[in-house]
Amino acid sequence: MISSCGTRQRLTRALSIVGVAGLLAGSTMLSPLGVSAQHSGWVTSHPAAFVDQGTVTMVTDGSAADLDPASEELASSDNIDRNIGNTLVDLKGSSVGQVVPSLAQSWTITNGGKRYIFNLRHGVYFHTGHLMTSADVVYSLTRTIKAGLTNSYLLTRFISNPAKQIRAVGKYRVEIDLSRPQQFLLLALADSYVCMILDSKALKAHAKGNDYGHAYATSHDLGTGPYRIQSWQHNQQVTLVRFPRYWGGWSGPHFSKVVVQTVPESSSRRELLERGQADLTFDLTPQDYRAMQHNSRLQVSSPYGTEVDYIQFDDYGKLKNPAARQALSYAFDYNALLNGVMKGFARRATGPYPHVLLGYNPHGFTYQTNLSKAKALFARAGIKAGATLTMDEYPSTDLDAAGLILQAQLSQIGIKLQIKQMTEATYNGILYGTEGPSGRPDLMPFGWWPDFNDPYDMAVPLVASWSAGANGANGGYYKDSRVDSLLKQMETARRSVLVNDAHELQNIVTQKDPAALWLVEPAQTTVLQRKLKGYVFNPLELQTYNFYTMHH
Amino acid sequence: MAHKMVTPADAQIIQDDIGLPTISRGQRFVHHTITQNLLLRPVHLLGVVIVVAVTLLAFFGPVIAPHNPVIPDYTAMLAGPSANHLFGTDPIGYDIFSRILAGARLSLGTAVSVLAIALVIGLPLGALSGMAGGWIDEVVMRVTDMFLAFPALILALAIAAALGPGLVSAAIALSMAFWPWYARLLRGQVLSLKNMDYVQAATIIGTRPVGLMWRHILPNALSPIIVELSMDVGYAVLATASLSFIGLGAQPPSPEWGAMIVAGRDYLRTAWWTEAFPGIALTLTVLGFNLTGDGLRDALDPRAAHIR
Repeated sequence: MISSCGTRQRLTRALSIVGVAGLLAGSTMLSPLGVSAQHSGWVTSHPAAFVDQGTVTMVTDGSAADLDPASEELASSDNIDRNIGNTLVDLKGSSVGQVVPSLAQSWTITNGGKRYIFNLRHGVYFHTGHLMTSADVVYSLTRTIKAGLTNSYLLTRFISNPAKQIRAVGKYRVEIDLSRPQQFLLLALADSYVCMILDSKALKAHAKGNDYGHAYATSHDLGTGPYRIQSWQHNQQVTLVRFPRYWGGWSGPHFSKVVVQTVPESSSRRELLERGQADLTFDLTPQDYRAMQHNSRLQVSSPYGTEVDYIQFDDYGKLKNPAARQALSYAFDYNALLNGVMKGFARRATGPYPHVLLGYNPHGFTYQTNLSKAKALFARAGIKAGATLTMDEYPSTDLDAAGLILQAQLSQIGIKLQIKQMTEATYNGILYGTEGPSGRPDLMPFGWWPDFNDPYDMAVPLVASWSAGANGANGGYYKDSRVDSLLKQMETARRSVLVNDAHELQNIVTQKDPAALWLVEPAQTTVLQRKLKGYVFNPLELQTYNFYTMHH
Repeated sequence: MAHKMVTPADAQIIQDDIGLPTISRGQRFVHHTITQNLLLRPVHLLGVVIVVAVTLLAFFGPVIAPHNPVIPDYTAMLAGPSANHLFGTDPIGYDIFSRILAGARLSLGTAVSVLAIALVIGLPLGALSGMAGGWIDEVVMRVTDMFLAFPALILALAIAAALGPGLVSAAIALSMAFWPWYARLLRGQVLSLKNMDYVQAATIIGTRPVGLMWRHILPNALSPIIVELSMDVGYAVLATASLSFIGLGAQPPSPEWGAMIVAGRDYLRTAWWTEAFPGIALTLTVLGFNLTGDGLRDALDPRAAHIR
């Protein structure tokens, strides 16, 4: 995931047993300790009067590229998937820890939290016309693991042998057997992008070799969601129209058409909003947001999500010594970024964990800008005046500025920061590429948010040694044995241990052996027409919008 | 058509009678028309004034800049034009006026480098092609055709992308797009001039091809090349800025004008000065060189002057 439309990371969202059980009390019950729990699902809505709201138009800087939930990693693709597909369970509204039924009408957790039985909703149709059954759920989850594509990690944490562990028990019942209690499975299954259920018949019919239908799923709508794809002009526009057989029904006011247009220039997007030619957008400049707050026809929503923006350090070469990375952290002018550039649309990040994520430590170590200290630490690391560091970057309001601020700060202590600008696609190719640490720049800015509320899920892709290079987003090949040990412990830890481990991990990757220069948590600002109602923000579902709930 | 045979004796007479006096008269004519066209016509004079001003800025801009162009003022990010920051500041707090002054050297220097490389490649190849003829001419011209088949900026973009971002890469990439024009231009001149009597005469008295080229053809082929150069400076400045605009040219914190424009792109609605002043600097510079080029063309190309 990236701050401004980019790739997005997904994994878990953390909640302890007690926490989840508490949050789900009365509706969804979840207990990894083995307490049997059952949820009885929603009452199926019956069609009443459909009030057609016409067309809603979103303008965005990115374009959907891949619709296969097993592989896609762009927020712009997520945005389409979220509207054409469904998962077994959903996050409830703005909650990061409470789930509600979706394709699974109810579920039971038994065997000490190791067995999950999902009772599927009847009468759900895919956009292909096929009826959804347990075979589709089994195949969708299994293929995500077996195809070994980008997003398989989300489920492999829980399920190592899908053929054995995911079973259909009847036409509308699916059973998942885990080898140990897993407190986060439900939250992982609520990930609205990776765990989307697809039409297995279509996938199998179009499978090529062992691709599990990946090539076909990349560009075809195989979901059960409220909208289906009517047309898709790549890099220009995706048009969705309402799916009349949507299981959720169409009673009440809904849009019958959704147009998602790609408009790369932020000033053009602002113009379209102000002229009333678009209904919502995001990723404008803070100056734009400020100006638009005074427009009575618009509403500017700026809640905080789970995104953290940072500049990752290359753990080899010039920055191998932790003192060099600490020096960079001291050299940066945080206030210039927060106040000067972001104008209040961001708050200080103090590590990999954002404020709303489980494991965030409000009392964690925080760097204060100190160039003298930075100079001394650089000297200790053997980096003297005249040295040159390198940094790659792509267009992004806060990360662009962060690079320039760091460059200016370093120049004051005689260190040159060579910045190479490139397109986002090129940058992602380097970050997620196979190039070893010696062929990478010293600094790589990026943004990240977790798949679900879990500090393990947030940290693994960024700082685990096994996520280095092409295996995750650890673009700097960061490796610290203490961090690796903590992560292995966190994978199965209970809440109290998990939180303590997260605090310790934050301390290491921020202070003792910095993995990155942790910059800001940007506000997740969306500008909407004031007449547009029903927008619900979830801190984990960033840069995507559920149009089904919206209306005028 | 039968050619008149020229004997060595005739050749010497032609050299004495036609060669030097003709060039001398031509030089006087050229000086006169340059003065007439560049300094007496207001439009062309404006071009010259702009070119001189930009050139002076390229030399002295960094010295007279009121602020360091690569040290930002965090207390004045996106500040509007004021006494302290004449053209305002950009999103990081760089003083735009100082950066425009410093950027003149980068923009002009890169353009000059582009054209210098283009001349170094294009002129020898054009001369070789025109003088040698035959299969050498065919090969050279087909190669130039290959380069000319691509729109110049697209070709430069592809080369710059392959070389990696940076002003040096941009200069190399653009020169690859420019050299074929000079090769073709000189080849055409050579083909036209090498059949002139005085060149034939020099050939007959034993002047070697290199000498022939250097002493008799090149001096008489320079006018169109100079005109082309003067017109191309503006285009090279613009093309350099274009490559910087799409991230393939100057890299931060270089105060190159195209890079400055892209830095302010997202702030057009809220901080117009971030785009306006670098844009005006770029426009004026390109305009200045184009007007000067027009004047030179009128002076050095009598046919064009008559058409006007």
